[in-house]
Amino acid sequence: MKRIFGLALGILAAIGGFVDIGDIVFNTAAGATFGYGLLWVVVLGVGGIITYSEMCGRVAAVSKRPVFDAVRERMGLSTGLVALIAAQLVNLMTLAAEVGGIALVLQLLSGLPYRALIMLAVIALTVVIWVLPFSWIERVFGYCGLCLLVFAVGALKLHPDWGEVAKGFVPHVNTTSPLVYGYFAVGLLGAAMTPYEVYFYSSGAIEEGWSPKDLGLNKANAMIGYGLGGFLSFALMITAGALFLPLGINPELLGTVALGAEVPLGQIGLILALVGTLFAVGGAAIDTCFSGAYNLAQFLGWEWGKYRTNAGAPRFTITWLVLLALGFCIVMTGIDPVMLTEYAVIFSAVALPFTYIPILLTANDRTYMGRYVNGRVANTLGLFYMLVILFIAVTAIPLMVITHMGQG
Amino acid sequence: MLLAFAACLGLAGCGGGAKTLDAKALQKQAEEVESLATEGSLLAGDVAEGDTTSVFVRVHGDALGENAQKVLAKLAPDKAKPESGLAQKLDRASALARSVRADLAKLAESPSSQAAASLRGRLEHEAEEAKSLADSL
Repeated sequence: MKRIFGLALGILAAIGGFVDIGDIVFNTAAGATFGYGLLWVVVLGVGGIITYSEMCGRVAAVSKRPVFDAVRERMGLSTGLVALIAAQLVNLMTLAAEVGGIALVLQLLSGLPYRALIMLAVIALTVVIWVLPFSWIERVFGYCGLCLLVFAVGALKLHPDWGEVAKGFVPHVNTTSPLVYGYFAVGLLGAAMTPYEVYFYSSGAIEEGWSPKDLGLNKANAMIGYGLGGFLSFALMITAGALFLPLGINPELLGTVALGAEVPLGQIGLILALVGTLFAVGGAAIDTCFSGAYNLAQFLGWEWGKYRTNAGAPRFTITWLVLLALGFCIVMTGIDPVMLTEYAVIFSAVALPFTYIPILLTANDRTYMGRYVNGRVANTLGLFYMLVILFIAVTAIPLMVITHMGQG
Repeated sequence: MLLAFAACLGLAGCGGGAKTLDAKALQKQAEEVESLATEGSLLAGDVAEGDTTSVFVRVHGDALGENAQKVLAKLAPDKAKPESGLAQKLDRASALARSVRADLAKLAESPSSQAAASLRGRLEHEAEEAKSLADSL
């Protein structure tokens, strides 16, 4: 049982990081536009986040250093500051979108006014973060988010053409609209490898007091947690490919995604989809809120960590409270949370190298890592994904502009 | 990054006054109407079969109706000036969007199973009409 609970960090990171509001809509939109043709990109993204999460979890367990320590040291103060500002902006955009997403799901469940639910969402998040210990936050949001598995059942009940699904796992490029295809591919990769996941993951490892004896748990967390996130992405994309593509439905609303579970499974499918989405998006809101506070505290050398209690790390506590308040203000302007997340995903793709280059360098530094330094496999994968990251960092914004955010 | 974000939002939001509407742009709006009508028909089918909740139907039906209203606004004479030969098709797209919006509004009012079944038929028909309009462009 303890081992199962030990996997909660990876599951929360995966559910909250991989399957946030943007991913839910992005994966569904990709399926509705290209059917199963982008499944291979999800596999590529899962491989990337597993590679780098394992690396930063190992760095945290061995050297007790979270990612932003490495960023500041490897990139110097000024470049590190640029990385910090970029990371905080993307975090804030994502947090605001997640808060809006929570309110949207609550509205679909309760029918209450959207703005009142934004306020309720922020109050609920504040109470949860303030009161619950880190381990319980992981468990509640990680495991309740598993309700999203209803989409896997829904996908099976929709009887997709499994031959076509299998072809989707083979890397290829759609030639009828290659730029829109490229936009979705870059977006899916950016969403899979979004930096706040590794900030949260590595800081969470320190919160949980990992040491070298936990390296097995680190690998299991990264592989099972993100593997599960990838599986949920497949389920969303296959559901959309089997249901929405043949009918010509262009999913732009969170309710449309839930309809993907309702049509094959009825009311129970709808409720599980909404509850799963609520906890996944709530988990993502907590991930981003903590990540923002971790980054600032680690960069400035403050006391940080949920394990120190709220009063034990006051500046860290004030930072996450301020971030929540800012997120609340942004989403209260009426901006569409789904659109905001799509912007956040594309801009986070641009900022990826700032996060991943220092991780790769630190994981290769024998001074910190001793005998736990990267091996040949980790370095080969790390370098391959670094090329992928650099490519998507360069192409993300041009593709967004040229394709009008995937609208063609 | 902040500047880039602001520029993108600016680009997304700019464009007052009537714009020339070409066949491709009109096709896109017709496809949007088709998408909304089809989704509405799925939802109406679930209402007819008791496979959904009244709250979900009301909230999601309203959201779909708002999207139909946005399409209608894009096709309005003060926003869209059709290229020659497209005026009739623009009128047809507007009429369809109006009709889909009205049916989605009825759907959001938690209709009886029988009324929902009838709405489903209407929305399916509107989706087919929107599809044939989009295909003709």
